[in-house]
Amino acid sequence: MAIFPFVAIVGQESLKDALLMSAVEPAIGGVLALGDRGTGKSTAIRALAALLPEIEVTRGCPYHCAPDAPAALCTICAQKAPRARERIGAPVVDLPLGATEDRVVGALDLERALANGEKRFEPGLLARAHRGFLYIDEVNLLDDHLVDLLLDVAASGENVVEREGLSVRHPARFVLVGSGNPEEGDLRPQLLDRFGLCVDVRTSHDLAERMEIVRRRDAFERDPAAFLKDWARKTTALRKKVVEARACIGDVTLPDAVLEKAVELCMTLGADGLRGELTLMRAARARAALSGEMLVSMETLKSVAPLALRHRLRKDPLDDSDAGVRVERAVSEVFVS
Amino acid sequence: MNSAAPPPPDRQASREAFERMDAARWGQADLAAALLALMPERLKGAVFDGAAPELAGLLQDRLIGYLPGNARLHRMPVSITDDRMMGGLDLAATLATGRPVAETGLLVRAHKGVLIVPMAERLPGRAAAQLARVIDTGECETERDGLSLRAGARFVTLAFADPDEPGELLPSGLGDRLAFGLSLHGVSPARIREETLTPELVAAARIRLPDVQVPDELVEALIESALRLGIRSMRAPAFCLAAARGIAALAGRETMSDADAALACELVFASRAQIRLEAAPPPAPEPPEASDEGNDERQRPQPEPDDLTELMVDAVRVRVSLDRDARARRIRVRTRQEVPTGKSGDMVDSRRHGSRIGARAGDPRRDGRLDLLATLRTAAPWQRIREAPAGGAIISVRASDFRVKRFRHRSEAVVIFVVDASGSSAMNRLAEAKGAIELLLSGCYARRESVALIAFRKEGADLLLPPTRSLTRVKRSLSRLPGGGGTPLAAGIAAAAQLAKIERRKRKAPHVVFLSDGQGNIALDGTPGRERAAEDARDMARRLRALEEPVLFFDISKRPSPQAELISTEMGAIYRPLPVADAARVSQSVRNLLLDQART
Repeated sequence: MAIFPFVAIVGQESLKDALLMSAVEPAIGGVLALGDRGTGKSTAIRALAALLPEIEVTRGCPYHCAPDAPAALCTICAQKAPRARERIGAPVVDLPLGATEDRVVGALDLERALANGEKRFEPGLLARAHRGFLYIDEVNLLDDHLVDLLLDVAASGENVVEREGLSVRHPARFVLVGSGNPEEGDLRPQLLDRFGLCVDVRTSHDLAERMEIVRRRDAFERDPAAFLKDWARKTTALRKKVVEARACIGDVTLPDAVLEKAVELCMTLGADGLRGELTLMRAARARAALSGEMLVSMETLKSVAPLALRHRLRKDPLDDSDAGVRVERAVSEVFVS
Repeated sequence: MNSAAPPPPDRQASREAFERMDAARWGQADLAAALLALMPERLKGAVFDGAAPELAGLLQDRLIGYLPGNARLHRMPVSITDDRMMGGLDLAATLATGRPVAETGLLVRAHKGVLIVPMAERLPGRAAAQLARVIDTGECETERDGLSLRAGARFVTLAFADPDEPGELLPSGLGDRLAFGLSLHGVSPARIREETLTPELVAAARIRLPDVQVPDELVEALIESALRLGIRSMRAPAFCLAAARGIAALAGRETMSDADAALACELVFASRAQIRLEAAPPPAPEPPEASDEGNDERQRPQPEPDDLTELMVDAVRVRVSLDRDARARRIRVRTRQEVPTGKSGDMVDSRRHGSRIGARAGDPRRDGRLDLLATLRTAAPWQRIREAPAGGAIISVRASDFRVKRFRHRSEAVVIFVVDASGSSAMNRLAEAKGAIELLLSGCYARRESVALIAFRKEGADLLLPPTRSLTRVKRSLSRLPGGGGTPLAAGIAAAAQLAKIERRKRKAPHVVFLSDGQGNIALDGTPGRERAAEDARDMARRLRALEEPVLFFDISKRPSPQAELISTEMGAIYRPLPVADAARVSQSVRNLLLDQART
């Protein structure tokens, strides 16, 4: 099936922004998209795969190591010196709901073990997602222990397997993207704040926007090939922007005054720990890089605050208002002075 | 199913009117089948509510007839396991060959065919979510048991549901993925007459379909009607536009007409509309009909449908109100013949049920089901060292290699709050219950429990919040709580017992929590009078006790009252006086109750 192009998605700006920022700066720590059904959460994330630039890998390496900079943990690349290289699409692994742990982390290759008594590790989905994205749809329906495991690996960047007489460590750096509908059950709070950014995906109530959504969807389903062709130029342009942002993000500076405001904001909101501040900074840098700015401005910081902080607020039983509203309130408080 | 003049107001004619309505309902179901055959990949499927078994069979046959080629039917039982549904390890073949052999799942076998899901309202959330995803992507992906499978799985889904309680027909957003939702309550197969749609007509429409012109104002009108009907999902208007195009093609039109669009709205939006019954106009004597072009002789007392959106919203409203009437008639009949349920047969054996979370060493005869794959994995590294097994077997497996499956205990608790919402302090108590519910749900282990809320006031009890685990949903539905009026305690207890029974049938563990002063003044039939009310309440309390579910009773009167203690004893409840509003204490007591129950 053809995939609906990322650039043709109408609205959902925060979700698209969050995904692009994570593509530029994986250290942000993943994206959680929560919202109503039929708002195009999955569409956007699956569309990302087709948008991202290809990566160069060592042929035959199950972890997609970069030929010039193989991961220190990769035993395959460490073996022999010269290896062919190839370009592949950026990995975006869609985690099936019923996935079992052995296929996620990897396990003993049974066929080889039985046929020739060879003890060999068969890499799982975590290996396949290295240098890319791992997507969990309906993350609130996944078993807790699997979500925990995924968050651990995503945070540490390596997968440690100790099972069936195997002892394997391999690189697994990926951006974890989860989506879900809070009406079907909430995510545990412990899991919630381990995602870097959190997007509240809502349906648009704007008639013109809704018409455009339906029109494009209709055009795409009637003739996918022609539709993709119509949007090819914009796709290429956005891809170029991501490549450029990746190249320059190292040089983006964050002025002390902006950093001060970021810290102040986190304190006002009671976002515990350093995670909030770090995410806020990284997100602001990525956003600046995407817009071609070499200096993070106050405006940029303000614009990423809801994404980075809305899921880290202290629970306040007396304040019933939406988390996004609370963040915005704090933003206007902090930035007044 | 040709149109006729509105019936004169005598009984015979009104029966005829009903029959015509049934015929029209069936006509719409048949039309939905034809549209699915016309655009299977765009419209995905349909869910039918309250269809008689013969009717379901008939509908499947019609769909197969309309589909090109030899499409086949595949039935998916709701108890299907993950591996049978999505594909997994073929145990027999794996054992015979000594190497892992994959088995194709039902969804892949259904590719290019029709998937039938009977009793779909009982489909577990996880299975529904997996099916929803396959419907979305057209592919079935499996990562389990050491296998990594991926295959095309595009099929038409026909789901049949008939839930006890009103609410969503399908779990986990599955309904949103299927274009049509139609009610067939009360439609008798005997009354179905000849059909207007034929496979030839569908085949002809297939050729015409790409050229159907769509006027802009119709697109706008149908999107606006979706908004006005409170439909948030963007899938619905997309389905509706596609369906309207199909209807025009079936009718042989080059340009989509207003009636095509209105009919599509009815088919797609009626099951999704968020409208209150009071807002619906009285049922029109004659519902709009399939492929019956341009007849705008619909006689409605409602505002003249000069506005296109108005016309569409109206069509949907009429359909919703007719469906609710038909449903109500049917449900009333059913509750009268309700069977008593005991607790037998629903012991949950955590060794064999629930979702699989891994494997551990053990004896399969004692500890549950053998995990073949894990066992082979354990045995594999030793094959070189061990002697070749006797009797020509390929692998040598020893007792120490045995691994058994670990399951997650699934008997999930449902806390049913029953709150006195009568009189002046109603808002206070409800706020308290709401606070307790939110505290419970936001607790760390919240995921294992769901919560429901019944409030009683005026003449009866209302289920304000059906069992849910979602804090978001709680907040949404509790923000506008009603209150005031008399105290129908008996009705409250009866409703709680009823819900507890339903939940027990779903293999959940109900816990009932009362917030009341134990002093009812409205009898079960809604009439005032303290004596009858007290008697009824005691009767209902005994009935609740017979269910043997844990009950917690908070006496909310200022001073502990003898009536409250009495009724609490009658229902076998744990009694707790609660003179001062305290949500934290309520939630703590409930938590203790849950912990106690979990231990026993």
